[in-house]
Amino acid sequence: MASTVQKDEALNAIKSGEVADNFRSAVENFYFEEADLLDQFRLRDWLALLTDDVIYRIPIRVNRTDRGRSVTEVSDTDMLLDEDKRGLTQRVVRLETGRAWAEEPRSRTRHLVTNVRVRSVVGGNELTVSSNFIAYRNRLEIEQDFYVGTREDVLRLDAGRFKIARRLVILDQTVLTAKNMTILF
Amino acid sequence: MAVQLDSLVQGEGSIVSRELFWRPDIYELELERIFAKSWAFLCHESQIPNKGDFFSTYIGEDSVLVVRQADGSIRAFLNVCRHRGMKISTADEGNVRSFTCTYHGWTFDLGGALVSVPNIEKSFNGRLRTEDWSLQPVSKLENYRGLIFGNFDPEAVSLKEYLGDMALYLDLLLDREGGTEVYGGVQKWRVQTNWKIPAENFVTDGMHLAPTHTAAVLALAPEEFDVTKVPGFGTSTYFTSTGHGGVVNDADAESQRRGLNAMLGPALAEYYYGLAERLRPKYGAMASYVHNIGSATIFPNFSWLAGRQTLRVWHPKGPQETEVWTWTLVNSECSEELKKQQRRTSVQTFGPSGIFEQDDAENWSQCTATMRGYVGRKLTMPYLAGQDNGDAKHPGKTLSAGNGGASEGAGRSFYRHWLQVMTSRGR
Repeated sequence: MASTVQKDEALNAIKSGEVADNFRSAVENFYFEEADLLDQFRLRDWLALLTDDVIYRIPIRVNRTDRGRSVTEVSDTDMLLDEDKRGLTQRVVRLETGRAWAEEPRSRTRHLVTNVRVRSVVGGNELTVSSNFIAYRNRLEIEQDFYVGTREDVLRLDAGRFKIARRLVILDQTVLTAKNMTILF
Repeated sequence: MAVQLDSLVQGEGSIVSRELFWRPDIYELELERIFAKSWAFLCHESQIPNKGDFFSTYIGEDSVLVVRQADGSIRAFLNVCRHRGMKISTADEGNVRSFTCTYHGWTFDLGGALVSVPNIEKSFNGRLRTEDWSLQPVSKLENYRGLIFGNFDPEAVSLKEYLGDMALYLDLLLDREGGTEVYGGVQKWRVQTNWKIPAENFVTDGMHLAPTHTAAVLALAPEEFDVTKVPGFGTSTYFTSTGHGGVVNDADAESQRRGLNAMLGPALAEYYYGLAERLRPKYGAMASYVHNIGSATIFPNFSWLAGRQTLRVWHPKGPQETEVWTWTLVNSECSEELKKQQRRTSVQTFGPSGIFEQDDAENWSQCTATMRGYVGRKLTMPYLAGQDNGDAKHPGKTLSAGNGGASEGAGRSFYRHWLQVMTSRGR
């Protein structure tokens, strides 16, 4: 389960500006445990890592050319996934019915989380953290998909544990090459 | 190579060979006879509001740019430089003064005219007449209540004639005070399936709703549904003689209202019920279509879901590959809150992560995978449901009733029309 962090230690570190150094390994441990829960489809336990006011979004990416300048934008209005805790719980319920055919049997997945950087402290008890990930999905015979991207999280210290309060998942594809997105990142 | 098609669609569209969804020669012929000659949905006008705005899409496998002109009109042309065929824009969308090819620097204006070629006099000595090498235009463009359609065939019938009785259903989707607009951008993803499989699903397939989507229904409203009773409702289909059509849900009014509530949330669901009342003087009983949990396809590959307001194009990418593009359509008269809710629910239910569509993609890709086998692809598939119920003429449609079960009447019509278009030699 989630790594326990001593609250006093956390607050002191935040105050002293040693956030990145003092927290990276604690945040990494948290992410590694989280990845394990996702790979094991222990999704009820995963839901417990989210704050009740969590917002989880995966925006679409768009190649735009404006007057000669070309960029791949992250949309702020259109999403591949846009959920609050209720919606994420519904997704878990869906899988629990045993009738969610796109995940029957469950895919074999591996979430690799890397390049973890603690960016800043917000409001005394929240960290903004960025990380990169590769989520590999192998399914049935030889179906395989890679979901690759970066995550921008807000982690909130709650009773000495991290909880995910915000997650923005930015995938590196404008056209998703997978037929669907049945797993979370 | 001669393709013998007549034997592949039999019994007035009720028996269809699986070779339609596999053979590369049939696919090639579809690009020529269907996609290069049909009206294609390109984009919503709200996506390109300003001069120089453009949106990049496809008609069949042809890359097409839709461009807002200086005078406010819209033009569309092939995204192919006339010199060596480089794409003149590799962007999904944007805003430009002109399009300059990155290969040899040929520049085309917003209307597609070739306006400059580097060093033209020294290189060509007058042999290159720029007026001969404009971008290839999409021959016909029409704006139907904000939806931009294009057709490469200069001989094509008007969009109104092409839609025929299906126009009524587009009207019920689009006829809104203040019009409609696209909220956000376009979701795009690849499904390893033939384009006709999802197009057919949206035109006729009410039969899959309960078996495929039980998990999604239970997730949205577990307290509302007894799982043993989910498969209990029926669907009818409506269709024109030109391949268009859709599914209407025959569930009783109370079940439908609960279903829409669960999918859209009470506020948005109530908006649609109120909208139906406002449309009733003009459309009569048909006004209830705005909250019916059904689907529709305009031949060949443009589909939508009423109420859920998701538009989609099934772009063909080879015989066994489809790129799905979806838009969320909102009514301009709605509050920002309702628009956001519309977009949120359409992403939650449909699209690559949609709790309904995830399972569709699974089924469609597996249906396609089983065609790899020589024996499996020689099989035929039945579109027999509802055949004995008789097709009744209703205002604006032919209805193939489900009579409590499901009807595949619009599917039969889809494949009858497919065969007719594919076997018409020229015009």
